[in-house]
Amino acid sequence: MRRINVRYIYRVMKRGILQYASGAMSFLLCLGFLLVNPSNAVTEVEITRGVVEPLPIAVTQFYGVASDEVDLGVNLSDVIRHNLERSGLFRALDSAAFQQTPEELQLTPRFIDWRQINAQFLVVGKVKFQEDGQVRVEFRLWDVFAGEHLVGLSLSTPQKNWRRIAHLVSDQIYERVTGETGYFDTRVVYIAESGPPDKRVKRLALMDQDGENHRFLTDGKYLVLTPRFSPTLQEITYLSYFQEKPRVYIYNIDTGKQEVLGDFPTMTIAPRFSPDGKKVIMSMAPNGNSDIYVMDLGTRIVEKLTSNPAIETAPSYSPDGTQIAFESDRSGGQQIYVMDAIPGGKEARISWGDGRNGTPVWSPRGDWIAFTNIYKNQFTIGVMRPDGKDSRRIAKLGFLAEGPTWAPNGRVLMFFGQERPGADVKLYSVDILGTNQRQIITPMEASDPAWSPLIP
Amino acid sequence: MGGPVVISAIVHGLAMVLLYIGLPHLSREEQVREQVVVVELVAVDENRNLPNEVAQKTRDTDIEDVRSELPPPPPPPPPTSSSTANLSEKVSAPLNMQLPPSKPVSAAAQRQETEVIKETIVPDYVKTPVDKPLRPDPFASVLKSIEDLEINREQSPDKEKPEPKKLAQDPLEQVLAMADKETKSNIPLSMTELDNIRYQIQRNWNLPAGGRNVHNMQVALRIKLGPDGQVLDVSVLDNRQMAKDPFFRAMAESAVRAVLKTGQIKNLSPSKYHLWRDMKINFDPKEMFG
Repeated sequence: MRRINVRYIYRVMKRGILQYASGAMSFLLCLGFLLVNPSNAVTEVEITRGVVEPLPIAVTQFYGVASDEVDLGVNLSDVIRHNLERSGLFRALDSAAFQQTPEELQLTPRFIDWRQINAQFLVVGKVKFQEDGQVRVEFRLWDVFAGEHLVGLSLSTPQKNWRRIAHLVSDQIYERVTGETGYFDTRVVYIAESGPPDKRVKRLALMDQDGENHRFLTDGKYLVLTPRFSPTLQEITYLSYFQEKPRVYIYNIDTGKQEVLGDFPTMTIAPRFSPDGKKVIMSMAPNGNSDIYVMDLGTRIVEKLTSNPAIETAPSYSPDGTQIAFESDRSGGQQIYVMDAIPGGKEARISWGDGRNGTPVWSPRGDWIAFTNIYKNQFTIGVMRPDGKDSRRIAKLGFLAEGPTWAPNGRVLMFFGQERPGADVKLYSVDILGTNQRQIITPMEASDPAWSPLIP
Repeated sequence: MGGPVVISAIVHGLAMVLLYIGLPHLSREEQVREQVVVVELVAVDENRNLPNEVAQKTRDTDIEDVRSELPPPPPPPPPTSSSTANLSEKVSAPLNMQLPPSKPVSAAAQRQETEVIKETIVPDYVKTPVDKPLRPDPFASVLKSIEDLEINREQSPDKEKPEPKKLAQDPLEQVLAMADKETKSNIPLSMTELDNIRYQIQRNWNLPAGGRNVHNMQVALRIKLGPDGQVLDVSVLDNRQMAKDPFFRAMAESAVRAVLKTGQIKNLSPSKYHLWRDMKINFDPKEMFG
């Protein structure tokens, strides 16, 4: 039997270990080289600036065969175009530049034609009257540069309701492009004013957000103030002086039914719904000192939320219902405060800018509080974060701008004001960025607007 | 007995040390030195890192291309029955980020229209001789307006220079030929080159400024470019957020549109194609809301 050579085995093992070690080191070095070699890294480019301008969109005439279908197709595309343009986020292109007919567009569009006129989006549609008296409207939104279909929808409605279809289509387009909920299928309630200053007639009026379908809800015999929409239902709360007594009413738009919420023995100001629509928050002054109160609409129980010798008024809930913004003059001048929505809740002042600040209104999406700023005898509309940061003024008129109300998507505001003392009072809208300020056309002077939620 | 082992270990060690010292990118010092070289390149290069004659030719081509009148578009293709729009109660197709000109087209896109893909092929201006009629460029109308300034800036000095006598007929071939002669440079893109890319994209980025939390959003895109700078493919890197956050989706789509609208990124150095053919573009508007 051969004798085991221990030294030989040791040498072989040692050589193997050394070779393994050197191989491993080489591998690690190569790996390190690959990792640190900059030529293998993907080049990164930072884009930190862009432009903010309306998106070019081509809204084509909706295709129809019969003459009344053609007419309705024209009307639909007109309303959609005006809606989108009024939002300030879109620029409708001139239809004279369109190279495809509505009929051709029932097939997939020739995107090259639309790129040539610099359209980024293309809206096409079709109208068909049905035997049951309904009209069927189909539409598609195309992304021209990507050559992609973004959204398509088919809607049926009684013919007289065609404007609502146009608003719903506008909402779909707006939502798909901006990521925000649309606000075109909404209404606005406001105070219509007429007559001389000493015999002013104030009526409650309702209209679509574009000023169409205007109607009066009250006859003007009694003074009406501060209309506010319920966030969940098509209901309005407002204050009316019936036989010199202030009453808070609730008016249902769909049924026309009106209900007295309560007779309040003292001055009652600025009733506003809670986000779930189950409570109304307002300010009252039972002992001559105004504080914030909340009433449960189910039980009619009233709770006092603030107890301060100063004047507290104009309360507005946060969208989650946990906080309330209100104005108070406890610091010597009118300023905005935020408190927890419970009796005696923790309070904090959030407005610290120039002048006085009041009438806070919390945005439906929760990220901003709109308010009226009074500085050097000028009233302007401003927005700030709920903690008071990023405060800035976004709208002003020559003399007075006040009473902001939010569109349900929290992107657009409406307010009222005057260009100079004694001038007509009018309604205006403005984008949250402070751009696209526009007058809302009303049949007579208008004040104190309140924007509805999306129509269910 | 132990001699060969010791010698082997020394030789291995020496080889590794030499390997380490000999490689230029293994230490930070070397990279820093390269940065200095990059700065020098920026100083000598005006707008691009092309050889003079190629740059001259390409510039002239650019100017002619943009200034020349576009021929009338081809007659519309006959509609096919397969392309009839079929609306359902609510149809929402996912956004396909692939550009029509790129070769691999998604199955969904192919199903949708072969016609559209044909229409949206963007002719490569570099491949087309200047004196021959060009095919209609879908981005020409856009580029015509937004590049006027650039053209005016470059036009006058270039015109004074005599045109080189011998140039390959196809400028792209010329560019690639010159690039092949050069050793592939590992020098990263200079600040000027990055600025050039940034400028061309950001002027087309129309962001949804009023969207919720948009000032805190960042979108990263991966883009792939052809040798002529043509955008071949663009995709959003964070697809999950795309699906669940409509504000992010609007922001991401605006970024994609910016790249698609740019169409072709110009004035890129061919010798650095390996550095810019596949890039990550980060869109972060925070600075705008400062």
